[in-house]
Amino acid sequence: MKTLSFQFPHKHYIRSALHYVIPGIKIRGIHYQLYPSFFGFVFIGMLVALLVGSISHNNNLGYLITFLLGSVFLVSLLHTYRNVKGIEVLAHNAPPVFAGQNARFTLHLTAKKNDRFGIEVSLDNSPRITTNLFVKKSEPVSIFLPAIKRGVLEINKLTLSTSYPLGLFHLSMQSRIMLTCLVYPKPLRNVLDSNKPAGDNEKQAPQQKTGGRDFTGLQQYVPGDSLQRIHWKSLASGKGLHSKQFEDSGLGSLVFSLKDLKGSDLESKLARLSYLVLTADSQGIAYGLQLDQHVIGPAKGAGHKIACLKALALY
Amino acid sequence: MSSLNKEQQSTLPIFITVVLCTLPHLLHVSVPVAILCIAMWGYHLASLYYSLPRPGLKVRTLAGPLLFIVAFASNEGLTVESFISLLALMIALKLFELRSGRDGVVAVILSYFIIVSGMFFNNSIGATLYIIFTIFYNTAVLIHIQFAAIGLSRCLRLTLLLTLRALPFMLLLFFFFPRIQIGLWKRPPMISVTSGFSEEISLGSVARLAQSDKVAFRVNFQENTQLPMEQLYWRGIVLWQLDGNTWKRGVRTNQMPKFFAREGQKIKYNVTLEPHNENWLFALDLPVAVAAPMTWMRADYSLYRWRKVNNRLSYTVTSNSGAQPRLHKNLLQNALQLPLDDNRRARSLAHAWKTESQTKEEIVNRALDYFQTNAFMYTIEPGARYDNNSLNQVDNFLFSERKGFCEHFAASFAYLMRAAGVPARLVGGYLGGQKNPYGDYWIIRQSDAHVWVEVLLDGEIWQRVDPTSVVAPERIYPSDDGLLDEVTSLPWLSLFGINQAPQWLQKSIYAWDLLNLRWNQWIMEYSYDSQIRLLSKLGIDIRLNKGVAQIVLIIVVLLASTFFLTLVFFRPQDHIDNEAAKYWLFFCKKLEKAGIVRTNFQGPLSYLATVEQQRPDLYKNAKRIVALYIDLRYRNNEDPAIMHSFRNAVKKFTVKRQQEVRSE
Repeated sequence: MKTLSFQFPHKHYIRSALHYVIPGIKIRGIHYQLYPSFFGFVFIGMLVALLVGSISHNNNLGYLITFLLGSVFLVSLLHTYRNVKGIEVLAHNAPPVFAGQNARFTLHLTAKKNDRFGIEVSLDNSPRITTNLFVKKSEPVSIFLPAIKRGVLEINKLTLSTSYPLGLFHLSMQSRIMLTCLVYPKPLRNVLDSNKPAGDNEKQAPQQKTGGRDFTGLQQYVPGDSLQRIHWKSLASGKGLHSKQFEDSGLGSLVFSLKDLKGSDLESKLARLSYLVLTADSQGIAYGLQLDQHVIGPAKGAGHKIACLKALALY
Repeated sequence: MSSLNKEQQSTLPIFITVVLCTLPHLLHVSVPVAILCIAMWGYHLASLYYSLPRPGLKVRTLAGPLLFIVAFASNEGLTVESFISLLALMIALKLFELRSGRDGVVAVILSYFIIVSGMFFNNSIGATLYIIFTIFYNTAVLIHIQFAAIGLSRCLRLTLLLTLRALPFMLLLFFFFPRIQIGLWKRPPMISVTSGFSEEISLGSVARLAQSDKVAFRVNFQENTQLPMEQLYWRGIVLWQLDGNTWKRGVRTNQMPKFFAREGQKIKYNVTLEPHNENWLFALDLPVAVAAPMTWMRADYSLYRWRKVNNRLSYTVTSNSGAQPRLHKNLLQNALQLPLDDNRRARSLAHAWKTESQTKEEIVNRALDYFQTNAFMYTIEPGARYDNNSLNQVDNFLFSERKGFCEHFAASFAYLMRAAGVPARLVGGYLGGQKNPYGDYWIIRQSDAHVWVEVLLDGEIWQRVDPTSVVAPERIYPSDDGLLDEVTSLPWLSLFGINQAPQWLQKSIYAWDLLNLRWNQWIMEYSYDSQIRLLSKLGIDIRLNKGVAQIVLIIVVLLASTFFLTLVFFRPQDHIDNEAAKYWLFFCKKLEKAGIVRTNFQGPLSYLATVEQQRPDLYKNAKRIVALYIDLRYRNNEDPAIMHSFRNAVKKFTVKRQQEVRSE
C-alpha cells in the first residue's frame, strides 16, 4: 500500500519483453545484450524531450545540457562494458544432492584489472547474485539452483551482467558453460511397501530393529535417517544433526532390487530404493543393489552408498 | 557531524543534491512554494539529527494533492514555473520516503528534470557552470546510492572522469548537430527579469531605469571609427503623444521614412541587444539601413521588430552621423498635440517666447537659455515629489522643484516647444557608453539611458535638441580625466559606502564582460548560420538544396525501416560462429530425422540421455560425439586433432531406420 511512492511495472516483465526486441551481439562466443532499465527509459525520454524542446525553442543552453547528459550517458556505456569485461570465472560442479534440494554451484570470480562493482551472476535462469570484485582477489559466489528431477542437472549458461555505473543501462554477457550436478532420487519412505516386503531378504526390514545391537558411534545426519536414531544431545549442544550408528553383525546382507518393488512408476520405485539405501547405510547394514542387469554387490561404507545412489540417479 | 549513522550516510548526499538542484529555482517559483520547500528541507535535515516524527503514509497522501494545488494555484496556470514548483515540492516530499535505494534513484532522476528546466531561465556563464556542476554532483550521487560499495569521494572522481570523457562528444554534438532554425511551436521567451525602455515615459521612469548597471547592448564598430561622445546618441523609441503626464508612442503610421539630409560620415556597426521584452532596436542616430530579421524602420526612424526581443539579438546597422530626418506632413498635427488645459505657467511662458521670437530657432534658444540660467539641477535622484496625478507636473518642475533627470528636462522642453507652436517629439534611447579596453567594443548600460527632444525647424527638418546638455554638460562632454569613461558607480558597491570602484575591479569587470560577450557570441548565439560558416571553414558545404535533402531523408527512412523490420521478423535463431557448434547442429539435425528432437534448453548430456532412452542402438556413437563436443565447446579445447575427429564422427554418424533395427 504505497501511495506516494511510484509504482512501476514489474522489472522482470520489462526485461523479458525486451529480449524479444533487442538483439544481442555475439563476440567470440560471448553473447552480449544491452537494454535500458526503467530509469534508463525515463532518462532517454527526458533527453528526447530536451532535444525537441531545444530545437523548437532554439535554445542553445538546452542543446548544451542535452548533449552533455547524452554524452555522459554514452561514455557510461564504456564503463559498463569495462566493468563486466575480463572477469575470470572458475566454476565448480555442484556436490550431489537429492531431488527437491538445491544444488549449490560455487563460482570463483576474479578481476585482473580494476575493481568491479555490482556484478550480477546467474546460471541458467537462477536469480542474480550481486557481488563486488576487488583486483586480484578471488570472490566466491554460491548459486543455488533447485534440483527438481533425478539424474544430471546440467547448467549451460553463465550470465554476468551489470548496470554500473549509472544504473540506467543493463549489459549482460552470456557465455556457454558446462556444469553438472548429480541428482539422487528423493528418498521416499513408503510404509505400505515396507509392511509387505517383496523380496525374501526384506523380511528383516531394518527399520523395526532397534534393540540388541551395539552402538558404534555418531555419524553426520543424512536425509532418510530414522528420527529415533537422531542423537538429540549433540544437536542441543550445537554440534549439528547426528545419527547414532549401530553395528549389527548378526544380520545378513541385503540386496535391494528394482524388480522386487511393486508399482508401475519407475521414479517412485527408485525413490523408495534410495530410501532403503540410506536407511541401510545409516543402520550399518551391508546391502547391495540390483537394477536390471546392473548389480552392486553387498557392502558397507560411504563410498558404497555413493556408488549405489549414483547408480540410482543415472538409471 | 563526526559520527553519522547509517541513515544519514545514505540520505545526506540525496538531500544535498536535491537542495543544490532546486536552490537556483527558488527565485523563479512563487513565494509560498519557496517557503514550503525550505521548510520541508529544514525539517528533513533536523529529523536526520534529532528524533522528530516523520510524516507517515496518511500525512504524505494528504500532502501530495495539497502541494499540487499550492504549486498550480500560486503560479499562473501551466507555466514552466508551476511545473518546477510541482517538481520541487514533490522531491522535497519524496525526501521523507527514502526507504529503499529505488526511492533515492527516483529523487535523483527527478532532480535531473529540475536541473534541465534551468535552460529556460538564465544562460549566462555562471548559470551554465552551475548547471554543469549540479549535473556532475547529481550523477555522482546517482552512482553512490546504487553502488554503495563505492564511496562518495570515489563516485565524484568517477563522475569527473565520465564528464571529462563526455566533453569532446558534447562539443562535437553541439557544434555539428544539424541545427534546424524553425520553431516547431511558439517560442516561450527566455524567462528573466528584463529591464529597458517601456512604451511610455513619465517623469522619474528613466531615472529609475538608470539606477541599474545592467548591460543594455554591446556595439562593435566595423571600421575603426573614432566618434566623440556627444555623437553617441543611441536612438530607440520615438514618442509623439502626451497623455496627461505620460509620453506615449501615439498614432502610428506605416509610412516609409522620408529622405534625410545627407551629411556627415557613414558608420557601419554590429549591435548585440540584450533581451528587453519590447519591440524596438537601438541604433546610432540616425540609422539609414538595418539588417535584422523581421525588422523595419518606421517613419520616425525608429527600428521596430515584429516580435518582442526576448532572446539576445544581433543585428547590423548603418548610420549617418549628421543626417537629419524630414517631416511627414500628415504627422505635423501629432507633433503639436497637448493636453487640453494644464500647466498654465509653462504655457504662458511659451506664449511669451513665441510672441517675442521671429524664428523657431529663436524659441528653441530661449528655452535652452531658460534651463541654463535658472539654477536647474541634474540628478539621478529627483525625489518623489512629482505626483503622477497632478495636472501641473511641468509647472511644478519648471518653477518650483528644478531638480530632475534627463526625462524631466526633455519632457518639459518638448512641452514648452509644443506650447510655443514648435512641433516637437521625445526620443528615448541611450547616450554614450564605455569602450572595453580588452575587446574593442562598446558597452551600453541601462545607466546610460537618456531622453532628448527633436524639434521641427524651418525647412521641415527634425533637429535634435538635448536640454540636458545645457544643464549638465558633463553628462555629454566627459571631463578630461575620463572618469565617466570608466565604470564609476556600481550600485552594489555604493551599498558599502564605496563610490569609486578600485582599478583592479574595473579591469576585472571589463574582462568579465568580454568573457560574457564571447560566450554569448560563440555559444549562446550559435545558430544554423554559424554552423554553415564553421563547416565551410572545414571545407564542407551543408547547404543542400531541398531536392537532395528530401532524397537523403527518404533513403535514411527506408534504410532504417528495413533494418528495423529485419530485426523484428528475421531474427536469426542462433548465431553459428564456431565450427564445433555448426557440426553439433548438424548432428542434432540427423538425430531429429530419427525422431529424437532436442528441445532448446536441452544440453548435450541430457540430450544424450534422451538418445539412450529412445534409441539405445545409437547411444554408442552419440556418446562419443557428445564427449568430443563437450571437450571442444565447454573445455575450450582447441586441439585441431579433436576437432578433426569430431567432424569425422559427425559426418559418419548415420541413423538407421527403426525397422532395420528391429529386424536385427
